[in-house]
Amino acid sequence: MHPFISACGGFTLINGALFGVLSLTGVDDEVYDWLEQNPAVGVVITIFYFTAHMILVHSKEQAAKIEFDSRFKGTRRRRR
Amino acid sequence: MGIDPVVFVALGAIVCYPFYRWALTALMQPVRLAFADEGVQLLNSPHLPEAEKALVDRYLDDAFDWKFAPFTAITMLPILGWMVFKAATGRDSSIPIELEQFSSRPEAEKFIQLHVLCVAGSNPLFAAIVVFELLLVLLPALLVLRSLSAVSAFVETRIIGWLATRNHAH
Repeated sequence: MHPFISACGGFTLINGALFGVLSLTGVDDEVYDWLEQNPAVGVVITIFYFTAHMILVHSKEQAAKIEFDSRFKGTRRRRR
Repeated sequence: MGIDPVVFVALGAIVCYPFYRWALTALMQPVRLAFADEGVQLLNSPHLPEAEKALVDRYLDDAFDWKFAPFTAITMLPILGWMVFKAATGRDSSIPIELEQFSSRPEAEKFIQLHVLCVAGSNPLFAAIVVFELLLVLLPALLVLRSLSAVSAFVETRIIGWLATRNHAH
């Protein structure tokens, strides 16, 4: 999966879960109001999230997959 | 610019999420490598038939599969219901023969347990939902099977193992 699509999926998941919890507890309006007053913070956090995901998470997962696959050198494991 | 504690926690969660994913990958890597090593041993075993080696391959494909836990969460209860229905009506409820044989091998036990850990670690949120669903059916199953290890083996083989073979059938 392309790292950007993976990042979008993770961003949707964390935001959905977060604001689901905030809505259930009835404090979501406070967050929306605060973000309306400070839109730059929301933009910075979004950029930070995607950058961190593309660099930190994706590279870690790719390295982990390469290390995992390297264990099968010399075996007859088929590749998908 | 004052910041409300609720806002701080909400935005902090978004900032921390990539670090959580990074840490989870690091935490799961020794488990995945142990899973790979067990898989290599099984693939190189002269005693394992080709059909069961193909099964080992399918299990290994799930090592990083984030879709497996949601798939299990959605399908587990209907499958269990179907199994109970088949057993109650006296129909054949057997699983594929290679899965039956493979899961009865002592050398496959650790491999199957590591497979469960790997798929759970690839999507902990849905793995928690699967555990919750299991808790719903665990008590009745305990009453029927009267053994925790039998219930555990049933879940690993009949449900997770069967799903591992179905997950790649398409």
